Amino acid sequence: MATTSTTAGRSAAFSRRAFLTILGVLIGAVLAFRLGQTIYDQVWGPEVWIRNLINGLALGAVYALIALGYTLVYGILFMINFAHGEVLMLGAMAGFFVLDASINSGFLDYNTFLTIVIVFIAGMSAAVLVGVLLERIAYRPLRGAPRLVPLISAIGASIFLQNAALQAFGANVKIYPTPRITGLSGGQRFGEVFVANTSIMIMVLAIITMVALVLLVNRSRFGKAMRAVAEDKPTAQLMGIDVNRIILLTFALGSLLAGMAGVMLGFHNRQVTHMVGFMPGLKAFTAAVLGGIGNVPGAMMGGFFLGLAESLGPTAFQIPSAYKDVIAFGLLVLILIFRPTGLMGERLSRERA
Amino acid sequence: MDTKRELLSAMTRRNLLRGGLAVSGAAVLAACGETKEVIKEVPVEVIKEVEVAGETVVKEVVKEVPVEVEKVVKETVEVEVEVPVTTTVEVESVLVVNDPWGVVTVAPGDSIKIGLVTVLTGDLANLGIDIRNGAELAFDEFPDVKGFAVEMLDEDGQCSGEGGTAVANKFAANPEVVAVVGHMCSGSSEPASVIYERAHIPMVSPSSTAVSFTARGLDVTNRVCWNDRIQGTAAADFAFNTLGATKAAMIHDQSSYGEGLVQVFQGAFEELGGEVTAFEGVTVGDKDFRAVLTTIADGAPDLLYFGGFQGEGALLVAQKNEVGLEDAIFFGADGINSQVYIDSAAGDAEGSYSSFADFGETDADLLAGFLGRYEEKFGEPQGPFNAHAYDAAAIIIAAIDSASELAADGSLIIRRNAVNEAIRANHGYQGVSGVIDFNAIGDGGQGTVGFQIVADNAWSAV
Repeated sequence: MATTSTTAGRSAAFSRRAFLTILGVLIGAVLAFRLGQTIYDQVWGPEVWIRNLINGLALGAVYALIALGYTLVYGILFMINFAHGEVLMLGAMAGFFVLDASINSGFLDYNTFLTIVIVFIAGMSAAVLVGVLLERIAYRPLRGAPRLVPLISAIGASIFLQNAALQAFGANVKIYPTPRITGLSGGQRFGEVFVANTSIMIMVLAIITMVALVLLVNRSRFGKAMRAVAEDKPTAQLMGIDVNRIILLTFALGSLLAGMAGVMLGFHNRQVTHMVGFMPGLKAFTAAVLGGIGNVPGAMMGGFFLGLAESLGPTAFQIPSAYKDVIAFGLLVLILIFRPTGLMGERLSRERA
Repeated sequence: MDTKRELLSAMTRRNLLRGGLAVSGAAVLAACGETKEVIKEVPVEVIKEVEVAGETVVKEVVKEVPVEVEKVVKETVEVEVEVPVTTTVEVESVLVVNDPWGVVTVAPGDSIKIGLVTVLTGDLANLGIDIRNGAELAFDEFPDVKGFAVEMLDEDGQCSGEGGTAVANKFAANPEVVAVVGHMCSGSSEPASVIYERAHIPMVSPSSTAVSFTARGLDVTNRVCWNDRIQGTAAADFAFNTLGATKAAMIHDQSSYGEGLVQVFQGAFEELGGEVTAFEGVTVGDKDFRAVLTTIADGAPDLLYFGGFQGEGALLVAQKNEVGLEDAIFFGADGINSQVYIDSAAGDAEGSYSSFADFGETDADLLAGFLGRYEEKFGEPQGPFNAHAYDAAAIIIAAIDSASELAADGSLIIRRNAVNEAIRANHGYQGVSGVIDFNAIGDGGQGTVGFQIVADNAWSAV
């Protein structure tokens, strides 16, 4: 009997696998054909591809920064901090107010570079403050509760922060006057391709930050403690690690990255409202899942992958740009069908399982 | 006689008074007799039937003397008899008002409720508040109808289908809501109108310009602004003939307003001989349109026509410069005709154009008076539709006035269908925004299309 059922299970698993493989090959063939057609017919000039590649890299860098916040928190607490997008929004808001003040006081004209640095510091500090408060107020009291409970608390916190920002700062759009800021306005021209200075700033800053983060997680004492807490909380505690402190610091670190991303988006897209964190937050969450949630390199990869898919997808498959989210999320579904733990999630999840 | 009286009074109570005819003290009795004319004087049998209002009440036999009858003469004699009706019947003075859509009864002391649906939160709040301010001036000016206060129910329709239907359902559930000024956005008005149609709540939108808003032939959809067929066609003509554009790319925000407008523009532009290089939609709330603009840039258009609102417009006009479209003219419509658009673009809006709802053949004094009152109360106008909102509210209040009667108990009875008909009966109405002339589907605004350019961080005449 046991043998029979195992055989049946094996054959069911086999047929599911075969079905998925056939499906994957078919979808891959259709997409490859469409891409080949686009390239062969030379629908787009090379500058379209390069421009979209750069757009996608800048967008992906921002997604990656935000996704890191999701993944760090998930790695340690196994919860999705759905208020992460609102942390980003509040960082962008704080940056705006500091920038506005520095314009009004004339400090911007006095020292532009220092102003930009201060705006970033203000945005990141505000985000860290909000992230830490969130952890203390909305998540820590629920530490022992079933996994759904902090999730609901996170959604509640997200809606609360959105509406609090609406009430506190008003509905009107806050403008980062990027064209006024020497060094960030305009861009560099490489032949036919123009790259905005803000795009360059985003990519450089994001890559430096991500390298620093990887070093922090893998080389530092704090990183070691963080990994230990992620692996096994009770044992980590027995080894003398203050688990609550590490969790709080992880939230602070994730929020710092969100605050940075918020200010970057502020400079890049100029418009900040109380809803500005919602879509990037959702996309970055997608990116984190895509890369394998809980996995630091995975979040970065997922972020860049999603940014490029969104940016290059409509071009590559000759689909109206209005469907860019369909492409991005369609790819997410496809990847999760074939790799349910995400692009880089398998090793970690097996260890945890 | 007792029986007769009882019968009479019972019947009077049952039929006559219910019907609304007050019978005072007299009734007309028709005596219909069948007499036998005789040669000799002989006692005859006279059967007298008394009819009141055609119904036999009493059959009275006067004499019973059986005799030989030689000739039967039938004659009808009308006799007026005064019948004292002693029963006192309470007279219910129900004013009978027949309206196929039903009535709204406003009790004495209550107010007449008129909805006002704009956008009060989010990116478009400045435009919504501008419209609300305009309507509020009308409510200030016409505070009551026949002694009943007019109350404005201020709601946020959020410029979205969900927001619009939520408010519409709320109003439909409230039997006191007579009419609605709004909604602001076509994307909110259209789904809401289906609910208002069922609930028989007439709506007059100050700013929903999408062709499809009234084209669906609903009874309750009215507007005092133009139809985008007018705006889109005029804009295409302006782009082709005045700006000299021959290759145009279409961008819309996927709303019924934006997409509808761009379609009209495309049709008119191609008819003029222009070439449309792209037709793309952008998602409201997104902040990065560089990818779509990159695709559009490949067609090398010399004009970008945008159907949508200020937020996305400001992003597009700024980001087009990053993808090789810095020489293309950015041309929008009434949705970007605000200071917020210019401020949001932080300098990059310079040189972009928009069409807007210019005042038609308006009374200069009327307009100046309105704008004076507006600035006195609210400061600088923030959008192009405040005068239309004032007209929409004023038309609704006037329509309620003409479609309502005072009942004997002091309440006000408003006939819903009559309100809608009174709104649509406005022909050649001199509004602040121009002459308003409703057609059969509820399009009232004739509106002249004006064009403006951003120069020195302000909209100025072309």
